[in-house]
Amino acid sequence: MPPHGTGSGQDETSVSRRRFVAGAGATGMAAGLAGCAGVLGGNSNPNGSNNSGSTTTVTWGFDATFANDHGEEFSDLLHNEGGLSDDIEIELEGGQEDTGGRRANYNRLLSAGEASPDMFMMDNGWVNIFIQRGQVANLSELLSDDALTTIDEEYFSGFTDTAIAPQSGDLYGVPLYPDYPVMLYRKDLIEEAGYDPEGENWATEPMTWQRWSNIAEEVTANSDVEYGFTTQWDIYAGTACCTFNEVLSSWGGAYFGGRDNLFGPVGERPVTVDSDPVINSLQMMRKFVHDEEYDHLSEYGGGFAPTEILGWIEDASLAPFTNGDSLFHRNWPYAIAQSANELGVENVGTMPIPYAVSESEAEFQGTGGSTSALGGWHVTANPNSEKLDAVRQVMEATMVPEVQLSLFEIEGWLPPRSELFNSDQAQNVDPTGQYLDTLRVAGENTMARPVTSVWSDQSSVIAEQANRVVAQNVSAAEGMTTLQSELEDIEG
Amino acid sequence: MSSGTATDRSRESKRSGPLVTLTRRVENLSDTQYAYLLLVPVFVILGAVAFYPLLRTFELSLYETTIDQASQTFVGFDNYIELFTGEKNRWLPGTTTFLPSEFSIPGMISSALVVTVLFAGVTVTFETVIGMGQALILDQDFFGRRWVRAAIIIPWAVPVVIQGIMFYLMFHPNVGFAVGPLADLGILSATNTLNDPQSALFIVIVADIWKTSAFMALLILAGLQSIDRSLYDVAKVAGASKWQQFRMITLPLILPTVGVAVLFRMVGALKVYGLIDSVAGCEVVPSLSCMVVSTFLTRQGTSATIAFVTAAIIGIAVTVIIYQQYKEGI
Repeated sequence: MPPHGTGSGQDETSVSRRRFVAGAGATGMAAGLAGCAGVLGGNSNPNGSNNSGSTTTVTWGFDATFANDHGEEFSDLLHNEGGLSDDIEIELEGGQEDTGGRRANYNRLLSAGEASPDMFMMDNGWVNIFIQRGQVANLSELLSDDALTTIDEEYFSGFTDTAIAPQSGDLYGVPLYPDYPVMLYRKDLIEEAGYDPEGENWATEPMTWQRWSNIAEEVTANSDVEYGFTTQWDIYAGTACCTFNEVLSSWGGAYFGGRDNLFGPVGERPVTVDSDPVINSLQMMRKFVHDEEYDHLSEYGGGFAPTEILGWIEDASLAPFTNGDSLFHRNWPYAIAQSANELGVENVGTMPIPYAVSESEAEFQGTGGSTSALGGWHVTANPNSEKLDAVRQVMEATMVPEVQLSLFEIEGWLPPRSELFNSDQAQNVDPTGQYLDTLRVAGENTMARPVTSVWSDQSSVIAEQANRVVAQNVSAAEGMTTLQSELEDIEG
Repeated sequence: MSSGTATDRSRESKRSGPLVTLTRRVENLSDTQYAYLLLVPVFVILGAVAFYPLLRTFELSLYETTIDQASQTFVGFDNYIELFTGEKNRWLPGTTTFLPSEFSIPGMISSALVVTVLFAGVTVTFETVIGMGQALILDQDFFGRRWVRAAIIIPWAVPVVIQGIMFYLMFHPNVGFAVGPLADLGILSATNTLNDPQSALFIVIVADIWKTSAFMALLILAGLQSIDRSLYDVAKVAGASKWQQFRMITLPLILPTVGVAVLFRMVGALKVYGLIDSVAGCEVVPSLSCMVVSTFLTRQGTSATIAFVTAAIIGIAVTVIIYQQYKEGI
């Protein structure tokens, strides 16, 4: 920025106060303005799409690793198997590996009204927040009736529900792949102990926690495994969304009065963590870890889970199982492949998560029975995109069964509809294909995390109190009373 | 001054313009006033980069954002009232776990302030004492001094997150080796160590002392090496013992340096976040900065309030330390 006015015409070799003041002032001003320019410049996010001729390029915010490893293969798949028009090109934009980071990035893009990427791959754990803010396109108005009917009738409803606006019932995301945990076990040890998992259909018929705990206690005592049961119970999001959610749901309990209230409305739904089913479920966990005595759990086995679960997340808890030190292990599908590869397919069995009360006996609506937590990703559309018709075609191409089966083969992404679990192509995927019966049952019995705009606060206090209770820092009733009041405060 | 031609008149009118007047005023300033004038750009830049964010934070603290962050409502000092009294009975992270319930006070006072002040007080005290010991050792001339100096400085060079992960692994139930002995001594909880608030705070304090004592040592060593060695020669001639030399010469002369080091560390300790988050998590050891981060996504007004209060606490602490040092002539 030039200084105001002109030079005085005085001697240029000496620096008078006057000239120094002018210079310093100008320098200060320039520095100030330079700083401002940096701020005002902002960040421009160039539109990644480029239309050349009659080809439309659809940009898709996607999983970075997948985009790197299989991007071209995926594009070919959508064109060849999915029937996507050759006039539509797909450009995968790898997002951050960390789901939270990716969410923050998409939030910035959509809040700024950016038109690119045209579509996103969104975690079912936070897609509802974008739906509530009106930041993703309404697919009930975009997709064809056939596609909507297929999703409604053939897809896992529990998973699809996480992409539906609770108020209107409209669909905002096409399920790409679900993720849900199962109970893994050492089949060889179980059979050595005289049980017949195959004859009793352990893979598809959930058993009660009572029977399961007695088996765990007995087999652990009579074999050389160190632990009877390994799971995740650290103070982290996974306890709130998943392990605790599964256990309390399997007792007929609920965070917010039942399945219908999972996604709100915040502040208008009951908080029900101080109810008996939830307290009972925590007492059961304490029994498993510390072998505490409770009247209603007198028929249960106990003392077979280590206190280490209180500090374990997924990978840390998996290690003892793959090392052959644990009898039962609760984890996501990725653990099946790892365990089968380490221990041998013949030594690893899977079963749905056990339950305490049946659905008909459950106190809260939509709970009870075997319950698996729900992870996975959806495909959503950017409402600011100028290529929504092409986006629709890409979305519908992802729904073609052959595409979904190929994704299971390529990356282990489970198909979002149960009928595909019976196909030969799926069954032949090694080694996970051999466990699809259990995964299908688990997929039909999922419980989504109650994602709303306040869930991040809530999940943190839920995990904190669930951990404290099982650590014996407080009683189950006391911990849940505290949690009840904290959740009510957060609900507002 | 006569005015002859039109050109002269025009030149004269320019000379008596506002710029000329201003220049003359500047020329007539005293040296002190002129020095302050030269500092104006610096003050402007400082104001822009330091005080504007603080004022903006204060402004944000007077509002409450809606859950979807779509709108803001002016609530005055409600966020502050809530923070110190718990009047609105709204949840704040870490308020129910750290202190026993009989000591629990509503609002942020109950945990975050206690954790932060305890952390800062204990770490700065130990770091000063250990750092001074290390500096005194490094100030001696002995074989292998360079290696010892490197060994002392290495912890300070380790990035905070890596340091946090190191201590996390040391106390992790799967791979940790440090829990057993300390649990036997009754210092740590034997199970669920990293999720036990008192145990986790102890670990975080030890981790910070391990890392930052070296920083104190370096600053104090700089002070030590600026001491005129002839003073010690005189003291020896006068028959002063080592302890007397330390008490009468070393300590008084390094006190200004120690004062600056304590000031720096106190500011750093009151802002602690990264170490806590990587070792134990903010839910377990809730510091003030932790609470700012925990509430930022969903309650920006509360987050800004905690941030402003934290800044005020740090400002007060710094002022008190500087005043003490000024009073004692350090």
